[in-house]
Formats: sequence, C-alpha cells, structure tokens
Amino acid sequence: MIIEKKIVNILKEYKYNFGVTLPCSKINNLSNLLKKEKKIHIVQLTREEEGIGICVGSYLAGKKPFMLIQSSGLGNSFNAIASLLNTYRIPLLILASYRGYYKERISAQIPLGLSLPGMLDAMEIPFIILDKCIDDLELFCQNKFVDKVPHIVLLSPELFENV
Amino acid sequence: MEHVDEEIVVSNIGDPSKEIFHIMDRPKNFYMLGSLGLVSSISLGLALSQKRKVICFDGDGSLLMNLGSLATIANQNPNNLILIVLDNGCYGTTGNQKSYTSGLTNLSDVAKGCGIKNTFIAKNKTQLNNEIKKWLKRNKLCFIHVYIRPDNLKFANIPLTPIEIKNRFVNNINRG
Repeated sequence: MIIEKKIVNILKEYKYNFGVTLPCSKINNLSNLLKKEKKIHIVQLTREEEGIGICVGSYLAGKKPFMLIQSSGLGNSFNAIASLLNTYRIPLLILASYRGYYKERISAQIPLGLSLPGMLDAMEIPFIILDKCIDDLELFCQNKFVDKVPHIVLLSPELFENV
Repeated sequence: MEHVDEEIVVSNIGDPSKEIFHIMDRPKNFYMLGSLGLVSSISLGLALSQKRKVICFDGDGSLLMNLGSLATIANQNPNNLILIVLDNGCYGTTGNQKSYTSGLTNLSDVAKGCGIKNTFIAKNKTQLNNEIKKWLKRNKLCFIHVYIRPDNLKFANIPLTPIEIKNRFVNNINRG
C-alpha cells in the first residue's frame, strides 16, 4: 500500500479535488484509499468516455479533476480526448493501470496494451509509464497541467506487486 | 431560453448550439463543437462542481450515444441539473436520418429505468413552458422530454473559437 499512499498524497498536495473512476483489479487499493479522502469528490462512471465529459464540466467549474481508470478505457475515449480536451485546451490527468503490459493474464488486453504508446504518440498526448517507482509523477503532472493538455500516467501492475 | 436568467446552459453539438447562439447568446452558454453524446456528462460535471443551476439541452441521437450517462446522473442525483432532451426522432445536423426514438425506444422510460424520478414529457409549447418554469424554481434533478418536429432552422456556424467559448464561460460563472 506504500505506493498507493504516495500517489494519494501527491494528488492531495497538488489539490486535485474531483476524480472519476471505474474499477480495475490492479488499482483496487488505490481506488479505495481515494474514496476515503473527504476533500476529493469521487464519481463512479459507467464508461470511461463519459468521464472525460464529466471532468470537463468539473474543470470549467473551477475544480481540478483527474481520472483513475484501466488503460483499455483510453481506447474508449480517444475522440473525447481530441474533440474536447485538445479542442478546448483543457488539462486532465488520467491515471491508468497499464493492462496488456506486465504479466497480463487476459489475452484480450494484449493488443491495445501493445499499441497504446504508439497511439498516444500519434495523437501527441504526453504520457509516462511508471514501472518500479513513481519519482517522475510529480513533475510530469505539474508541467502538463500548466501546458493545458490531457496527460496520461500509465501505472504498471508491477508498482503494486507485493514486494 | 426565454425563461433562463442566471443559469448555466450547455448545448449539444451542431444545430442546437447554433440555434441557441443566434437566439440568445450569453457568456454562461457553453457550446459544444464535437464529441456527440457528452453534453449530459459535461452538464453533470458542472452541476456537481458548483452551485448554479445547470440546464442541459441534449438531443435524442446524442443521448442514445451515451445512455450510461443517465445511470450516472441518477445515482449522483445533483439537485441543480435540468436535463432537457429535444427529441425529433432523427439526427438533425447530419440530414435528418431517423434515430431509434422514431422506432421503439422511449428515452423517458430509459431515464426512469436508470433511476431519474422526475421525468416529464412535453408535447407542445404550453406543456414545455409549464415544466420549465416549475423546475427552474425547484432544487431537484429532472428530465424533460420534449417531442419536436424535425427540420432545424439553418444558422451560420458559431463565430467563436473553442478557446473563446471556454474562456468567456469560465470567466462568467461563479466558481464553487
């Protein structure tokens, strides 16, 4: 739970106060910790694409939103990222558990897992992959928020493995 | 729109936004330009994140694309959201191709099934005026299903850039 607590502390330190989420088995602990935070309003989604819309509304109202989803959900969200976030220049932190990448047991996750970095590059969406530690998280989030762009942090399941 | 005063208005892409712009442009209108389906989600985000009432103008084609949104809205239950669905049974902006609300699908039933208690149908102007006046005064989530004829008036594109729409809107609504 150490990494999860560190991530929550970073979100609190940088005043993220509105989060949208869908369950993923790899990030259950992180999700549960966030739901206990009184200063962060968490909204459960029915689909990731809807979350982009909700976060846009929240941002326009003055909140600092983020998403916590599974990376496969990014595949459901590309048009919303392009036609809402990029078009209106709205920054959004998307934390995504990176599926189809590390010791993945579900074969259906593999195709998108392999293609995802290339797709994000093609769309010029900044992203980082965190494998063993989260040292790069803070600076990445700070810079990209200022740039007013959607930005993605792919969290490898390796981060949450019990050591 | 004639009943709107200080409320936030979010409108669906294409003809609905163009019409509202030409009828009653105001800084508290947020015009969507793409991402069909997400007007109700943007409206929900706004309603949950600040206190002003939010009026969402959605369409049947748009809402059909994002039906899950009704479940999220119902369960989050913001008391400052009025969801108005202009149902002309077709995709107006792309040439009036029929949507499934011309067939078997009833969006009021979907909204009720998702858990939205206050759902109303308006079939003419009098009914619409009455519902809108009533719900603007109340603090409860509601869903107003308006049956309208196809064929939108043709208006020019909105002469504002996305950034202009965003900045003007953000500077005008009270935050928090």
